[in-house]
Amino acid sequence: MVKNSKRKTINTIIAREEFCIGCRLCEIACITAHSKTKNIIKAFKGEYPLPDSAIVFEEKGHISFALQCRHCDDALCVECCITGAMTKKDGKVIYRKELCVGCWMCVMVCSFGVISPDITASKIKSKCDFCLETGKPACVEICPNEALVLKEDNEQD
Amino acid sequence: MAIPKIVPDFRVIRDENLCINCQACCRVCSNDTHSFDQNIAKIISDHRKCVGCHFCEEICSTGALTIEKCYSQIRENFNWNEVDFKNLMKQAHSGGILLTGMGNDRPWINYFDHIVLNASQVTNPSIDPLREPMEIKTFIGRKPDSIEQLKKEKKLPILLETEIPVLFSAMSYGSISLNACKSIAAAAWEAKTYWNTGEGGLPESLKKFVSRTIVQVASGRFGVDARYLNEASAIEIKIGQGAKPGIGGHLPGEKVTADISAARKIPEGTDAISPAPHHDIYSIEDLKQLIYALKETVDYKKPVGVKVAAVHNIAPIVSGIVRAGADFVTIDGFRGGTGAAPVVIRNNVGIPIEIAIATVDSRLRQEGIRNHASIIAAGGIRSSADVVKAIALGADAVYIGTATLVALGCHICQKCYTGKCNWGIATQDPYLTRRLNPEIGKRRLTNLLRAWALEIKEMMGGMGINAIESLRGNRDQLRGIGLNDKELALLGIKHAGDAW
Amino acid sequence: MNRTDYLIIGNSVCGVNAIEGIREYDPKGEILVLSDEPFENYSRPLISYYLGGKISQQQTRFRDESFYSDMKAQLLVNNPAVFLDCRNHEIKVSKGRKIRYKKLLIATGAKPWIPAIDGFANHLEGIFTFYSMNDAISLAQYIQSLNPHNCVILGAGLIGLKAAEGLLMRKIPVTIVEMADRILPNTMDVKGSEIFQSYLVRHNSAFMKNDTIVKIESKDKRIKRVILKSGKKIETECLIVAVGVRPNTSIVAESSILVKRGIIVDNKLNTSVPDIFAAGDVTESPDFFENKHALIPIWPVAAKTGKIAGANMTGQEISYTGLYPMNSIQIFGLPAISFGITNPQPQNFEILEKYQPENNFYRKCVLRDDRIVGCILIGNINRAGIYNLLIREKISVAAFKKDLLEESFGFLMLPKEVRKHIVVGESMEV
Repeated sequence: MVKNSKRKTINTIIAREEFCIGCRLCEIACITAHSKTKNIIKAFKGEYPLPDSAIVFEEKGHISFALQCRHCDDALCVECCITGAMTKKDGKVIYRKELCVGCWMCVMVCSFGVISPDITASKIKSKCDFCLETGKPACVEICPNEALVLKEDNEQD
Repeated sequence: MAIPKIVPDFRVIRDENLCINCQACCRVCSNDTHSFDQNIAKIISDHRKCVGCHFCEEICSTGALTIEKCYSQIRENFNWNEVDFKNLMKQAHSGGILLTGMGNDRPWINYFDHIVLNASQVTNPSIDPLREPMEIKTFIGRKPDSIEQLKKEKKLPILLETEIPVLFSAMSYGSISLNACKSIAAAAWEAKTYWNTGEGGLPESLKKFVSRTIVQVASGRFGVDARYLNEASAIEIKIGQGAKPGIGGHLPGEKVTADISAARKIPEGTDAISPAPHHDIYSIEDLKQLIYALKETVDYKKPVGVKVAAVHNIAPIVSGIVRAGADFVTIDGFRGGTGAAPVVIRNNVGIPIEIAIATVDSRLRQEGIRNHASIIAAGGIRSSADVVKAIALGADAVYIGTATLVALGCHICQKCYTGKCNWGIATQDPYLTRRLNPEIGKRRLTNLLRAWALEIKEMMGGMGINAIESLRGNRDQLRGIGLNDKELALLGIKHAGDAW
Repeated sequence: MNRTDYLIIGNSVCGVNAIEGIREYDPKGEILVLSDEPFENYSRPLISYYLGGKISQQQTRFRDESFYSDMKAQLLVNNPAVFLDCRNHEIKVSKGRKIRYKKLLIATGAKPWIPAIDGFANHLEGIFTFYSMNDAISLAQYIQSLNPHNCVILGAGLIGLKAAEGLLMRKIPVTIVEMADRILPNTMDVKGSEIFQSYLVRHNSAFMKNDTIVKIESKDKRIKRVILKSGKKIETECLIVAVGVRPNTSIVAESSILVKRGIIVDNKLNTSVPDIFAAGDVTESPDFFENKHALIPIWPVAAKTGKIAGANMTGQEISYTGLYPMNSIQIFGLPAISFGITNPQPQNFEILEKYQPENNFYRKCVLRDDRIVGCILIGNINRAGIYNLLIREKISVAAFKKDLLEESFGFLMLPKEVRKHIVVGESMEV
């Protein structure tokens, strides 16, 4: 990774496994935040299909944690995207579904393994957009035990 | 006969219009109350397994769940209430002593709720704590008899200094999780008060809070060595506990994990048994030996106190303890909590803390030794009003235990002894302990103490008092409501309506 | 004479990333980009999608239309660099025009290599390479107008197979001729090749392995038949030569810049001549595993080196730590990803593999000293990037070797310390 360049992201969502209680409400919140109505009950009771959650949830025994896009400074997925579908905008890695052809270069290079391919659709299943519309990531907002937290930018040079 | 089933205590009410089948409730319940049925694509809840901890209700993001009391009733009978009936049924089934957690839940009279506070009107001015200085800093320990004596001895007494007369009471690592201990210790550090290790020893990761730590020496002597004693701010010899006076403690071997064994300094996997009495203390004289053995160990640099349960002879007992050299005495009333105690003991043994404070304070004053030791009242303090009333009755400070746990999420379901605490407090199960994030715990406890400090100052200001010292034992500020003459006499207060 | 602060020769992924690399540190300096192609911006890997009719020519862009204006970079299309005068910091373009630069980046990429074949001639109709947009457009037009009954592809590498997929989507049967004994010889191991071959055969492609084209026969200036080394003859009106690429080093041929197979660059992407950088497919850049230079003509290397070269042109001193081959290929819905050394001699390496034919799941890890140096994932490519991370950061896998091949492989299988370092970063005090 090139670490010399100036940091541009504002915050990163950090998963603290020692406090993850495995409730998976982050996924529910993510789906709701990216549904049409943005209302949990309307979305789950009335919308079909529901969007996929952009969270990769790992669980084994009592250890669990939720991972989502880190919006890396030198995002390899952006560098390696052959269509420009992955692009950096205001420090966030934004996925433009309409441009994606399903080449999986981003899947190949994402160090966190949080880009999940939808093989049949030739698109990425869902990509964390840091809840751009509301400005506050829904998964962090809902996490009942602050296992998901925003790590404030510590200016690195 | 057909073996009767025991009617569940709670009913899980699920509003199907709101439930989105996210299964968060299924994932979090440590009692396996909820399960998702693939065939009918619905979540089924087994009422029988519900202990009423309300964790699922709070985690449910659509508000679909309500935990209700189960209204199945036996025919109303003044002598046979539902609790006694159910307990009897359980015992007929199990043949064992019934266990429970937390404090006495029987409807005994709560004297705090029959005591009201005074406020200044015309004849003396009230004080606005936002604009004028208000002192609630408290010193715990033996105070000199007089200024002359202090001048003569030319050294200040060894005192604990706390910013608020509210301390976190003894809850051991073992009875509660390390994350719970961390929350409490960190909050004590932040709020500049003290926390108490209970008989759990001092875990390595909490040593950074050692200068705000009171360490306990109990009948099992767990975790005790010279270093433990010398590191601490103060030492408390535990004789008894309000929830189970006369009863020892037992942490089963399976709960003695590597970390707990290290903190308690006992082999991993062995039962941690605290005998009912200290086998080296059968008299006040024996207690005196232990107090001075400990004082010698710490070179008289730390206050040494004694904790006893409030029982019938509490006033003479405390008098003896003070004369034995204790710098503070903790009195634990019968509403004090526990991690595990027989139901019958918890509900029927001991006396209320309000009476105990008043009678002890009166007795020590009569004997002229009130300044020899501080009194810390414990067992049933629920609010800042209780704190003020306890201090006005004669306590120097209070310990809060149940209130601490409630701030950490506890819903007082009384199942501490099962080790399945969904809130991650009274458990060592790694699935559950992670539910208590000590950052949040510390924040909530610090908030609680801050809020109480503000309220205590408001109440004092109303009475026209600007220092907690002037409130201590100031029973003129209290009036009883609905109490008989004997009760008023024991509490040392007048009835509402009686002027000075 | 034109002058510019930064001159970039080449406008593909490497050149574009160089523009971004420059702009990260120098928002003002003049940037001039020379392209020998007529298109403003297109992504080479997308030409097979274009050929297959999945996307339009417009959709082959990989940067937005406003990219060059946003970046304040001037692009000269159809303007090949003709001659490099290192001493005077000058580039000659067509019609004798000269451009003087302060810093130069050579990002001329590669060009398809055409082996010597009897009967091959440039003017013959029906013979194509499959490398540029022009190749794809003329191939598409040829197919449209002639509707050939089949097509022969020489070379069963990534480009050959992606071309085959494009043609098969246009319902043109293909025959693939490969010199090696298996397909995708450079990307896959034997097992992986087998899986892909049987998969492709099911989708109407035929393979001639251990074979090559020795003669091309033509009629009316159009290809008619190819004759293979084995003696087989295939009637065809369409031949695609996709045997590989070579660095496009012609611009430096007469200069003093050190060239072996590609332009030699150091880890700052400097060539042997001051103020001249080179990056991407045209270079032999530092190898990740060994202390040598290697040709790795892949997109991620071109992008990474382009970005670093751009930054270093502005005076930064960013080091390129080297990469290894990595490829992602999906043919007819079967995804595969490979990294690094995938088909080594077994001595010195530990090889772990798992194959489940029922769902085309194949996973292989090549280990050296308990570090992954190569990896293949077929069928299930979820979380492939974690393997990339393990290779790149040289993380010891000794503690979780047995989990490496699991379909559900994830960070949870890593030891807590490693995992926390990756997932949380510097640990937070709790």
